[in-house]
Amino acid sequence: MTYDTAEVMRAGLDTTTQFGQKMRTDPAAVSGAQNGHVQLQSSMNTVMANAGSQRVNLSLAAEGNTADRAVGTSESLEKEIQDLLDESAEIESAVARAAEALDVGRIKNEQTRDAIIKDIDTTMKAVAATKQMQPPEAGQAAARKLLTDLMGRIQKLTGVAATNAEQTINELTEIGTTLGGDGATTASGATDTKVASQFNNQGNSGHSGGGGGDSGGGGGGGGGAVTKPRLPVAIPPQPGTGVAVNLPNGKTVQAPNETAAKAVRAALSQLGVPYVWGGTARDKGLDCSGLTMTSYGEAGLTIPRTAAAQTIGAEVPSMDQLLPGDLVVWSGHVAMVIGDGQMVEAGDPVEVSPIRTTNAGQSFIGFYRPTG
Amino acid sequence: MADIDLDREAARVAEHADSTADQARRRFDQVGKITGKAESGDGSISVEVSPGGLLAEVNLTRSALRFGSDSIAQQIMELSNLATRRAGDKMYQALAPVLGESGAKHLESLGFERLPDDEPQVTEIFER
Repeated sequence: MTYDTAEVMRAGLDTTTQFGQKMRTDPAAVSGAQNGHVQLQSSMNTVMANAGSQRVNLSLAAEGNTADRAVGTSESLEKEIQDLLDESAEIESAVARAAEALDVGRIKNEQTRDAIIKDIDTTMKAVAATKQMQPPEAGQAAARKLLTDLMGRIQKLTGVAATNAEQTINELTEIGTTLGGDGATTASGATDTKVASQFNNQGNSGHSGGGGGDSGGGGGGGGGAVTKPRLPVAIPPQPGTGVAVNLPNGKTVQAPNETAAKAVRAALSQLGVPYVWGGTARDKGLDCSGLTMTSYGEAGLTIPRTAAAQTIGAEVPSMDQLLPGDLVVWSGHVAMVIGDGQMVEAGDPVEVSPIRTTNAGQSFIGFYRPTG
Repeated sequence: MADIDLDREAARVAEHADSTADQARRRFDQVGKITGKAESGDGSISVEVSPGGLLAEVNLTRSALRFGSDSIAQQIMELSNLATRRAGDKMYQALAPVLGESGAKHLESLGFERLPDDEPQVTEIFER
C-alpha cells in the first residue's frame, strides 16, 4: 500500500483549509466600519444642530405661509438626519454581528480541522506500527483497513465543516437581508418627505444613506461564495476548431482544443488502473483528482491537486454544453468528460461511466473547462 | 491556532509515524513472531494463524479423521476463529504500549483486542 503522509494531510484538510480562508475576518475593516459611524454621527450632529438653530431663528424672525413651510421642511430634514444616524448605527451593529458570526464559524472550522489532524496523526501512527507486522501481507491489510476507515471519518468531519460553513453563510445572509430591508424603508421614507429646493443637497445625502444600507446587504450576501469560485462562462467552440478523439466505444468526438484532447487520451490510457487514495502514480494507483491532474499534466497543463480545487478555467453552464476534457467537480470527487455523454473517473479501478451530477454524500460544485 | 502550515503539520505527523514504526519494530523484535494457536481437546486438530486470521498451519492427526468431514471442517473454523482472537490479543498487548490510549481504538478496529477472562476453552468448543 503506497501512501504519503503529506498527501493524506492535504486531501484530508483541503475542505477545512478552504473554508478557513473564506471565513477570515479583517479586524481593521470591522473597526473601520465602526469609526465610520462615529464620524458620520459627529458630522451629522453638527448639521442637525445648525438646522435646528436656524429653524428656531426662522420661526422667531418670520411669519406667514412661506416661513411655516420652511420650518416644516427643516423639521423633516432633522428627522431624516436622525433616520440616517439610526441606519448608520444599524450598519455598524450589523458589521459587528457579521464579524462575530464569521469568528464563530472560523473557530468551529478550526476545531473540525484540528479533529481531522489529530485523527490523521493517531491513525498514521497505528498504520506505521501495524506495517511492522509479520507476515507483511497481514500488515498491509491492516494498514489498508485503517486508512479506509480514516477516509470515512474525514469525509464525515468534512461534512460537519460544510454544515458549519453553510450555517455561517445563512447567518450572514440573514444579517445582510435585514440590513438591506431597513435601508429600503428609510430610503422610501426620505422620498416621502417634501424637501424644499434649498435643502435638496441634504435630502440627497439621505438617499445615499439608503443606498449604503443596500450595499451592506450585498456584502453580507457575498459570503455565499464560500463553496464555489466565480469564473468566466465557457464559450462554445467555433466550427472547425475541434480536435478529434477516439473513444473506447468506437465513436469519434471533438475536444475543444489540443490540450483537452490530449488530457482525454491520457485519462483513457489509465482505464483499469486501481484506485489508491492519495495516489498520483500513473499506471499503478490513482485517486480521482490524481487521474485528472496527471492526465492534464501529460497534456502540459498544471491543475491543482485536489478535487474541490479543480474548479478552474471557465465554468460550463449546463450539461448539454459539456465537451471532452471538461471536469465534473464535487466537494470530494472529480471526473473528466470524454464525450458521447460519458466521463472517465477513478473509481476502483479507473473506468468510464455516464455523466452524472450526483455522488454519494457529496455536493455537486459544477462543470469546469480547465483550458478556459 | 489561526493559520496552519500544512507542510509542517505533515512533517510532524510523518515524524510521529516514523518513531512509532521504530518502537513497534523493537517491540516485535522483543516478543518474536506473533501468531495465534488453538487445538482441539484431544489434540487431534490444531491450527495456527497470523494476526488478522491468515491461516499459517493446520494439522490433522489420523485420529481426527474418525469425526467425519463435516465435523472436522466445523472444528477447523472454530479453532481458527479462536486462534485469530488469541493472535489479536497478543497483537494488542504488543502494540497498545506503543500506541497509547488514543491508538487503542485503532487496534480494536482491526480485531486486535484483549481477550475476555471468560474466554471459551478449547474443550468446550470441541464438545459443543
